[in-house]
Amino acid sequence: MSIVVAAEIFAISVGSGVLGSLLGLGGGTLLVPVLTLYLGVPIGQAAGASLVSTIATSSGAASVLLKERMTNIRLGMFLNLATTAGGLTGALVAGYFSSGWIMVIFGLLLLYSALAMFQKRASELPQGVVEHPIAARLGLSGQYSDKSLGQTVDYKVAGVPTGFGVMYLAGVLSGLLGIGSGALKVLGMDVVMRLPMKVSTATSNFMIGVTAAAGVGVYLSQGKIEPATAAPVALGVLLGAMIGSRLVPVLKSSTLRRIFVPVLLLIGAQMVWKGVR
Amino acid sequence: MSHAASNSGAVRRKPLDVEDLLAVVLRWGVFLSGAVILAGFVLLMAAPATGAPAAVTSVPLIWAAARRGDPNGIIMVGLLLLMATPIARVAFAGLSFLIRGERRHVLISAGVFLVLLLGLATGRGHA
Repeated sequence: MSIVVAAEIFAISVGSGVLGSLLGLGGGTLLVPVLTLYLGVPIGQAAGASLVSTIATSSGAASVLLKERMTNIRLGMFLNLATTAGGLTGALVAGYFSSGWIMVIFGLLLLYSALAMFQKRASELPQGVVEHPIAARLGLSGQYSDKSLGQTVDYKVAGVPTGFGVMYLAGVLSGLLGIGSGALKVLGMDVVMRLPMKVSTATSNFMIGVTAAAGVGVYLSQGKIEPATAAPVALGVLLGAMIGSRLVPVLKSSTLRRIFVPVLLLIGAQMVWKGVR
Repeated sequence: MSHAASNSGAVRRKPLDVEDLLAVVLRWGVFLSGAVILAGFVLLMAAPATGAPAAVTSVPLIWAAARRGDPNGIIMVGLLLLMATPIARVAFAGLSFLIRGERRHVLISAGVFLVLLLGLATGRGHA
């Protein structure tokens, strides 16, 4: 690999890390098309790079988001039960489904969500949330200090069973399709569990690394993690995630929503495209 | 005054915040893995491998390649460290919940850890 190609992979990975850490996504959406279409990386290795990117985004952004108390660890760990179990289920049944129509449905769901997110784009904090009894029993509700608003935000967690179900579904889709489904995690926490946007993205960021780690073994043994490609990806994404995570506290939630809408459109369109092809 | 305040704070406050512990663990994990990946990548760029690159598809193969000073092997050691950070996150979260006496969350973390190991062992888990 030439220095120039490595520099290109590094640069796109920095961008991917910034975006992923802002929105709680793994960054495969941006990375995989650029690697495969523009740089000619084989699809298997691009998928391996996407796995590395997801873990790098998650761990690179985590220390800042944890210190700022944006990440809800108790909620994230609880929901990780659903995503990891879903991931296993999805991988087990992967041989019995044609993934085409699942991708189309998932893609359409994301496109619809983009519309819903666009409609509530100005929303800063959720209002009138009633805490679910399970959230109360597990102590899942929390607070963080929002620098962009200059106030401490107390928040409650609603819709725990439905949210848990959405996370299980997100896990199944990951296992079935080999995608990160961070977008679905953020949407589940935002729409169903009614968390503040920053808590949703930070907690998703915390969770995606754990879900992805379950896939390391199989990617490794299949030779999908190619050092010359994965190294600039990991270094770039780590740097990007450190930058992005420092922007989260000072950006408004409504700004994050406005960035999220076109990204949802992109992921949704990619899914539909892959599904019908 | 301040003494009394800090005393009452100490009574109410749990031994350590899970968030702060995990932040430290992850920061070190990220810096360590990043440094190893960078070192391997600099070597790779400085002296491109001649002939077929060594197979690095399992932990023993990676370790053997790294010990020979193969840049690909060194990069993969760094990547393995990076990919271990989420597993460390679950383990340390469980540990700090244990120290804080949050039994339910210890069980939840243990459950996640178990499913994670199951996924790694069967090689069926996915991103």
